[in-house]
Amino acid sequence: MKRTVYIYKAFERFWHWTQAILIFMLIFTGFEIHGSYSFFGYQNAVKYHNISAYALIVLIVFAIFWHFSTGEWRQYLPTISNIKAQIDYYLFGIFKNAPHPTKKTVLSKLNPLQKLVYLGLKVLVIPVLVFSGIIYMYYRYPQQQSIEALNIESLEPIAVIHTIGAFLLVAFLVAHLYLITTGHTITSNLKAMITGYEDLDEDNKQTNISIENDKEKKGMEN
Amino acid sequence: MVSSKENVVSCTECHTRENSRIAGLTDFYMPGRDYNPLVETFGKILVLLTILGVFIHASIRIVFARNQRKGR
Repeated sequence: MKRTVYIYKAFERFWHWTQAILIFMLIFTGFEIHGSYSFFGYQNAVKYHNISAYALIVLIVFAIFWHFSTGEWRQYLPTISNIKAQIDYYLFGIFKNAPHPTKKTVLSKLNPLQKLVYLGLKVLVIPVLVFSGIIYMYYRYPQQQSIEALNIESLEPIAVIHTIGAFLLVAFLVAHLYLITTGHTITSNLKAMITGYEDLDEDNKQTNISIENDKEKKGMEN
Repeated sequence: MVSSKENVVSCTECHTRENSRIAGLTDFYMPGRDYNPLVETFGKILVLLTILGVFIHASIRIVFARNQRKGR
């Protein structure tokens, strides 16, 4: 039996796709600035990188406000239960058409592995990229009359940290783009992120585990 | 130090991996010219392994999906 569930709200979808475009631009221009290839021309690459960076920061401010005002931030609280079930699913179950071990609902849109990975992105990788990026943009070599405490002797550590973050983000993006296809059908995850709605199988086996999940989540309904 | 209009050079005369105009000035980090070899190597390996993992995983899925169809 099939059932259509509303998973991603309007702001969430707007945030996701705007962020997707901006991050794609940042990676593409960023590695040109890094010297990996030449495409826009160095000056343009720097210009587009900076514009995208500011746009992303504005978007992040709105997203943070949205996550806290709606309580959606709780979606990212890591859970220990079902982590093994989720890993088993990706390593074994998926090949045999086994049901997803956790049910996706509006109350619980992320599986245990997504919670972990997205939390890591949100509290570690993205902040590291944003803050190292801001320091990178406003970096100036220590001047004679400047305040000693604010001097950073070299641009190198800032650039290196920014680059490490960039490589991690590219690796995430590769996995993320592939994992789109691992929903109920090949395209159901993509469709859900575009329309907000997803067709899910009503399956007794998979509801048993996830009912417990939903009970935990009930507190965040408001 | 600002050069006159005729003497202006493009960014990539210096901000480039190969043959940077200031390749000899090595006491500072220049974006586009400099990079950390360790980060470069491990970063590329990480991304390549992720791509490889995706291909392996996708291949197994395709093979299993085919076998299941045959079985029916």
